[in-house]
Amino acid sequence: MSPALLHFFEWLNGTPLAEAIRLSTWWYPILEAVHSLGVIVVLGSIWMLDLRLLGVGMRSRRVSEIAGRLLPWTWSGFGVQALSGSLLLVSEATRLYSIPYFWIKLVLLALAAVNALVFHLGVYRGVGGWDEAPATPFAAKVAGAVSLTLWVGVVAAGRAIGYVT
Amino acid sequence: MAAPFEWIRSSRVAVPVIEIIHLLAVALAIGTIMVIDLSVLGLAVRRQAVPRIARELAPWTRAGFGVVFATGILLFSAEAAKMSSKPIFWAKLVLLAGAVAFHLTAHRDLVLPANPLDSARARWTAAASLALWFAVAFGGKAIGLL
Repeated sequence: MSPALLHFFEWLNGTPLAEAIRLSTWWYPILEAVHSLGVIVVLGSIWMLDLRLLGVGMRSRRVSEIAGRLLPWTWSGFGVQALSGSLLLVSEATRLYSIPYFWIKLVLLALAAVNALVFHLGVYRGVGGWDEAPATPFAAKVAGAVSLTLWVGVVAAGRAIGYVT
Repeated sequence: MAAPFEWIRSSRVAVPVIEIIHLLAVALAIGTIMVIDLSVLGLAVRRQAVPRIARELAPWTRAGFGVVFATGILLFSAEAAKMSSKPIFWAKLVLLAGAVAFHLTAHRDLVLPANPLDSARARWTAAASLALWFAVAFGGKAIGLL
């Protein structure tokens, strides 16, 4: 990593906000608890769409219905995760900088975003043609499988951060 | 019986790996229940579809819980003495027992096709289910924090 990035993380670590979170008895555990429960909302909503795309769950519902009704939950959950995650990051930025799992998690998150974007701009544009079909097109199955796997990786890497002392 | 538990205790990676599998299975089990409950509350999939999606998601909920319980027992076995001394661990187990009992009774009836979902009773059942499962998950997290 570049020295500039390290300096940025050290600067984050030294901000009054980081200091305040570290000094408080409750902020860190509360943020961690929120971040841990929030993942259920994010995964719960994303995985349901992934299962439908793979043709192994909620086959009776239209794909667009599941996507439309659950995406608001994905986004709200993601908002909570981004906010709690950013505060956790700031509070121990210097430590996180040195932990490979942290960077692996960020890369996996970026890949998950790319996968979702490719899906929405690609095969999902023609969802009208396969919306009600229990069996989905190959590209949709791939998107579902990739999403499922990447999110397993995000959670695994995220939890692994906590095990590094 | 003792050999795998011995391995879990002595291995550096066993507990983290089993715990990560535990967390992922929790997300699957509670995630599927959450989608059903949110749908009953009118906040996700159409309410009329609830009995159907409940049937379609049940195998995933069961698979999730199967893995949750198996990995949970392994995790407990690896740290039985430490766990037994933590009140929060016992609080989580009591909450879990309550949530499981609720799931197999009131919640099972809730998703029956004949059950009227457009009622205050149905909405309270769904809300209670959500609250119970997130409380269990919070209890699990709190074991590590306290």
